[in-house]
Amino acid sequence: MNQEKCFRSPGRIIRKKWRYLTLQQKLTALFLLTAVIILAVNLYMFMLINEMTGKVEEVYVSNVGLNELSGALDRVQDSMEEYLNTKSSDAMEDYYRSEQAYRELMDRLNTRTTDNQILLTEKNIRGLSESYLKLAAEAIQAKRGRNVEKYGKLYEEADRLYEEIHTFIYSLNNVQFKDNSRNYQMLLASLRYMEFIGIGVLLLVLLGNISLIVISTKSVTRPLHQLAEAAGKVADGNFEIGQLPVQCMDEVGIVTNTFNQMVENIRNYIEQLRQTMERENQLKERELMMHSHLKDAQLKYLQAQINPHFLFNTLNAGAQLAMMEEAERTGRFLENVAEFFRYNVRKNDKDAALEEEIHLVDNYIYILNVRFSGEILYSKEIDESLLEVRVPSMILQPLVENSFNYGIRNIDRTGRIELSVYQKEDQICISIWDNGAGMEKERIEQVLSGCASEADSGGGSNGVGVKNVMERLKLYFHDEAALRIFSEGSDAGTEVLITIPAKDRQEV
Amino acid sequence: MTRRKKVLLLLCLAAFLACVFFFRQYLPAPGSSDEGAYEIYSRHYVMITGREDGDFWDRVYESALEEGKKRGAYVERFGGDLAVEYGRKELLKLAIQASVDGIIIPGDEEEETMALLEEAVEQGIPVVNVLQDSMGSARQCFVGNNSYNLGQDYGRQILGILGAEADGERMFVSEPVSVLVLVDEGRTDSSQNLVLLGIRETLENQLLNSSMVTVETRPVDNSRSFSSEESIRDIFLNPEKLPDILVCLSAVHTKCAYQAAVDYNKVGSVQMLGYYDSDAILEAVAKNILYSTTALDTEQMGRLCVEALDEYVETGYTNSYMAVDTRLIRAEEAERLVERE
Repeated sequence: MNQEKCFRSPGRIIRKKWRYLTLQQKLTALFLLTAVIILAVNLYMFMLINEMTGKVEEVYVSNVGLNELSGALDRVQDSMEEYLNTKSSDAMEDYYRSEQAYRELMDRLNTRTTDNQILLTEKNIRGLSESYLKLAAEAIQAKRGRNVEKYGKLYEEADRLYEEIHTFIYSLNNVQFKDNSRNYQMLLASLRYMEFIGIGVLLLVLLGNISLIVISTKSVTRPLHQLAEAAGKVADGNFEIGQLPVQCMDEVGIVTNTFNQMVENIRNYIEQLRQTMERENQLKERELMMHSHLKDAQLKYLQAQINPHFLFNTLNAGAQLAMMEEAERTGRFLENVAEFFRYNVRKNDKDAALEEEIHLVDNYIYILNVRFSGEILYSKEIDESLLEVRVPSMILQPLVENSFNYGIRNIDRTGRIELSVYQKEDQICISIWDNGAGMEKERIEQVLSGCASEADSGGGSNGVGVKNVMERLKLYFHDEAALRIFSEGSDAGTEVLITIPAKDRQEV
Repeated sequence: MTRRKKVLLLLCLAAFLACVFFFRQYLPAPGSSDEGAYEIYSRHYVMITGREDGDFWDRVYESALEEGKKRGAYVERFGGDLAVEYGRKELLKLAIQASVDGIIIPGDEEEETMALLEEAVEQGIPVVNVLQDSMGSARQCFVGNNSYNLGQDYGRQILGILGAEADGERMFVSEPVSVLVLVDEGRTDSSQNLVLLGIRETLENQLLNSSMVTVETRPVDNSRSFSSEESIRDIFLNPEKLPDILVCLSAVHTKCAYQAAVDYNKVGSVQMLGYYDSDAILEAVAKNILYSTTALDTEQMGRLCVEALDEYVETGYTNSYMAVDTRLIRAEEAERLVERE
């Protein structure tokens, strides 16, 4: 592990460093890198051109060198001839000077045996030159010693060798010139090609640089794109996005980190809000339940006060007494009252068959007719097949009670109440009609909206108002039941129509 | 960066480097083609040959060069690249003055040559005569064939043309036969005379009536350029004097003779014995324009020259004569050789 740490590759180190650079630093580094590459390539091309120019200059250097050698040889020969002719000290001096110069040039010639013809010819020229200089020196020596015959012969030999050396130099010059001319042509061609190749290399470098810039800027802008995409989703209300990866610690990295944190915070906040709402709902529900229990308790309290069993038993005893005293009507009256109360006690919080409800209405009307000396003309029209339909208890009697109290109680004419039960398509209709005082539209709306119920429930009624009936119907039939009030205005009578779904007959 | 992009980037980089490398390589360095790559050798031998028989000497030189390289010596074809064409003796003198390490040269028996050989040896430059010897000179070694044996070979070929192989029994010739031997006018060594002697003695020994066969020589002038060819054509221009058998002792003479025979429609009427085994000569033998040709082992010749020089340089001694094998090539073998090439 330690070794791995020690020998991390340079690529990895650069990548790591790159991660922690700011955007500005990254872009600067990128531009600098591409600029350096272009600069380096240009410098390289410049160097090559320079090199080639140098080579062009050098092409004929070898020829120039041979020409120099040839010239130096001429000077040696001339000065030797001059000395042999004049024996002047100037010529002698010239001879030594030119011989020295020639030797210096000779020293540049190759001395090794090679398989290169040019170098080998150089070696031969050098060998011949040594022989020539030796002959020349001997000739001069002979001249000094006034050995006419000898210096004449030596001069002849030297002169021939001089010519032959010239031939060698000339031949070598020719070979080199051919060679150099070929090189020169090649260099010229190279220079022409260099232009194309240079453009090609530059284009290639340009392409490489563009790729480098595209790749690098992509690595910079990709996190920005991801961020923008994620931000778009969040703006559309989708908070269920994962954490965006943070690749670099530049400005974009910091923004991405902050964005991640922000999304997380928003998500947490929404969760908290949801929990709070849930808690509030639970609280409300509990409050409602408590309210309901309170009502229930109140009712139970009232019922306990009445002690229905006692009242019921008492009324039964009264009925039996009336029978014994042969007061048949009183007996029947007491029986009806007893039944009325018994039903009230028994069915207060349960459902009942429609027949039972109708029977209760019968009892009630009977009691009223006894109380008010048969003022009410009560009729009913019942579909016998619907008698078993289950409905919440205590829904008809309060409505009939309302018809009596607000409808026909205070009218001068004979009051009529009609109860009809029938089926219309998939609805069961229960209608309570009276020919009483009737209702204005505003009043109907008030009653249906429940505003009037509070005020009206206090007097005369047994406490179960229209609103109560409506709510219980809705609860029982899951909002599929309806209670409507029809009246054509004052003194036009009123019809209360309950419709319940027929499909529930079986279920009920 | 994905893997694909990385690979792409690396490819771009490689292409770029390849371009730069190509570009760098494309630039020529003046003189580098010649001066850049060369070998250094410890000894410098020169081979001096005449203008004649260029192809033959080329082969000898190639062999000598190869053998020299093996032994750390470079053999130069001296004077070959010079703008002025020098004679053999002048080149020999120049080679001595250039202080080379050894000289390979066909000899002759002229005084001047002898003196130059003497001078060379005095200066410590060993000289090997090749093909032709400078008898009695100071040269260290002679590498060549035995001219008398060569003459005997030619004699046996002439007997073959006349009717039968020489198998020990003496033969009889019913008609007079003329044999013409082309000799190089410029050669002053005794080798040509030895060849002639070999031919004559073989015929005399093998023929009962050798007087019926006349062996004559025709000097071929090669003092001027193209003069050999003109001299040989002259022979074919005079049909009455056309010999029955023509013997050529050099490659150039052989080529000129068979070309003239073809041109003057004398193939068959003049039987020709050739010398050397160049492609053209082999083809002529295969087509029966030439009766046969005698070839020297040029490879062996070149190799022996360098061996002799090296031996002398290293030990101070060497054999004074090294024999080179000769080979007689008839039509069948020539055909095979032509096909192989």
